[in-house]
Amino acid sequence: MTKDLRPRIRGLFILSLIVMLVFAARLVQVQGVQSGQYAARASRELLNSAILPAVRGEITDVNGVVLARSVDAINITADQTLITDPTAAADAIAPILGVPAADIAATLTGTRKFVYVAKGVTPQIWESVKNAISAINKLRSLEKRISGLYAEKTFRREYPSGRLAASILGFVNASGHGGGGIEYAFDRLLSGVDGSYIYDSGGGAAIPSSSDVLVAAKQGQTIRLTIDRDIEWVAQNEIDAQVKASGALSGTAIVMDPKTGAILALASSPGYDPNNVSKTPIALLGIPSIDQVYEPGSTGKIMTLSAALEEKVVTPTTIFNVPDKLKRGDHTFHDDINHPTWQLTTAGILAKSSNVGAIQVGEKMSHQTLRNYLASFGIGTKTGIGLPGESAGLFPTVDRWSQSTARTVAFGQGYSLTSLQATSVFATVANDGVRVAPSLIAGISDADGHYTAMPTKPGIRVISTATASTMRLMMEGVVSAGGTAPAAQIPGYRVAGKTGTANRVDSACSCYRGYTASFIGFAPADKPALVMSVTIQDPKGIHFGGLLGAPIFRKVISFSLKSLGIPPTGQAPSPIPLDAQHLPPSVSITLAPGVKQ
Amino acid sequence: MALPHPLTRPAPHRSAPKRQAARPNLRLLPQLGSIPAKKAKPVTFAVILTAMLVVGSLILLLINTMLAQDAFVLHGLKQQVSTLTAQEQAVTALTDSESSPESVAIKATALGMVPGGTPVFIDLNSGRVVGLAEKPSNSALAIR
Repeated sequence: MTKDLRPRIRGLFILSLIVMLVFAARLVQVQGVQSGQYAARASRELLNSAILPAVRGEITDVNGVVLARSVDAINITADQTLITDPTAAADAIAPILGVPAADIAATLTGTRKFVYVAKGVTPQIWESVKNAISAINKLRSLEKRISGLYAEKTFRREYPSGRLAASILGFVNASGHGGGGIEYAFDRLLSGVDGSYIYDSGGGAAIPSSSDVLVAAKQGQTIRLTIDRDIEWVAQNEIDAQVKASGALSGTAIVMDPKTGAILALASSPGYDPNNVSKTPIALLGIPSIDQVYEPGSTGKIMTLSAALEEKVVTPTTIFNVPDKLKRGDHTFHDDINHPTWQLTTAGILAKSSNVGAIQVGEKMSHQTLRNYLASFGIGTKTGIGLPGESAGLFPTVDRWSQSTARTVAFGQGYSLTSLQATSVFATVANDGVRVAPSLIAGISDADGHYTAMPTKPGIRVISTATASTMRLMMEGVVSAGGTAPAAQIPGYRVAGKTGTANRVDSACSCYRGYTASFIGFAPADKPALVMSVTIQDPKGIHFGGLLGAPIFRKVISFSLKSLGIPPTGQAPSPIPLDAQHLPPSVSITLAPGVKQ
Repeated sequence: MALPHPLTRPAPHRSAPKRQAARPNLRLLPQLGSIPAKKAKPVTFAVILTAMLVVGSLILLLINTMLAQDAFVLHGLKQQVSTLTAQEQAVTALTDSESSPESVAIKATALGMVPGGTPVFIDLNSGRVVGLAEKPSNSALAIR
């Protein structure tokens, strides 16, 4: 009997060994050779991965007041196949979303598994939607209940100050990226880096506690602007009021620190509300201060006179015989007002803003010399402020100048610039002749709050300190009772500036039609801390820069001086005589050729 | 001076007469197959197994429930965080709009306030007053 069993046992043993070997081989195949493939298949069926959106960085003013931030928001999505009663669901949620019920019903009807019902709503609204749906469901039998509405977590860009600084800030488009202004220019810094997470799912739903962050989202960086929200608001408020009152097409106001180039305010009117970009006409979405060009008119005389002083072809008290008309070639140039022939000093030409006088000063230099000075003041070159759509202006080279161009350039026509470039010209005079590139970014902080200040760019010397100081003294004459802008005076402070009332190029007819009224000045004149430009495009009725721009300057700059605690210097001005009659005997008189004393 | 203790113990008493006395008498066991083996009752065995199974399952259930409970607590807390974040954001938006220059200006105007005049500074070193007050009608602004 024992003899009979042995082969059987051996047979069974060998058989089970073979089976075991097959198992082992299969195990090695599954676990070793094909493990990656199977793991991938398993994770395809079980594991899901999703994007963890990064929070977009904030934009703040110079004091850290938030001007743009991202807040939690919900995109409401729907699975049309699960919505049993689209009409009832639409009727319930339409009032909460503020959308016609018919539109929602149309969105909810169909066979698509995924549609957006509403984008970027607040979490509170989503909560109300959920409550409204469950209120309906309580009254219904199980099979008639409405389901199929889901929340997708996202972020919404919020601009707490509304229209304030809107043109600088820009806006964020539907894909969550910057569509204009700082939002566009610094999109990469602000966006951060999206992370990802995985979760297990069973039967289509996520299994609780199964989610695991793979890559943490990296929050976007915070950008601190040089803008001061309060000054920005005063500037915005005043320019809005003036554009409205004068029936103007548009207006801009810029406040700048001439030493650092920091822009404290950059307001444009009409503006827009970045919280509601979709309903804003595209024409309003630009940054007028840097993307719209105009001929500066009399404010451009600053450059002609600075050049002449620097070239030593005139002194502040050189006397000119200034008629109200001047014929050059086949063209007659006029002053703004009719007047008998004046005997004006160089300072007087500036204070009275005489075109004829400016032509006479300009003629003392070669065309190329005049153009070189304007170019080094930044005309024809982008300021490099780093905002999208900046224009360099139009500044033809001398070989393309006609006989009249040389004359018009001397009094600020025949070339065009942006209001930021114009502000920079005056900032150069205020900063002792050194041109500093205007800047909007004070610094950047990363997600950990580590702040890096923006490095200041080195300035370019355009005119000497002495010339700049003489120009400032002459520009104080403009704001004096005998000048064109006494409305810019701020009691207690010395103020310098220049008005501009230029013929405006109308792009519709490519001709001169209407005016550009402007005033650009700085205070305190003997130790400039703030430069401001006010530009009003195409005002109806009164169109003089001294009447439209100067009062805005006075209001905004007196507020800014107060708000920043900038005291007057307390030094008395020593005015430069404006005409021959007022020249004291002690002043050595330099006569322009052809002027008889 | 005492001598150290001896390292060796005294030898144990070797004789064990008790053990010899207690030894039982050896006898032959009856043949194995001739008497019936004492079997454990199958019911008892089943009961023990079932009890182990039930207790094991219960413990497993308890552990799973506790884990799930944690997941629910976590979910609840997460929900709470997002609700509170939403509330915080709503409140921040409200304070932002209330403290905006525009709303402050409107409220100040409603209270009858007007923009201040130009400021006057006192140089503490020289005692000199720098500046010119624009509207010195208000007594608080009057220069001494």
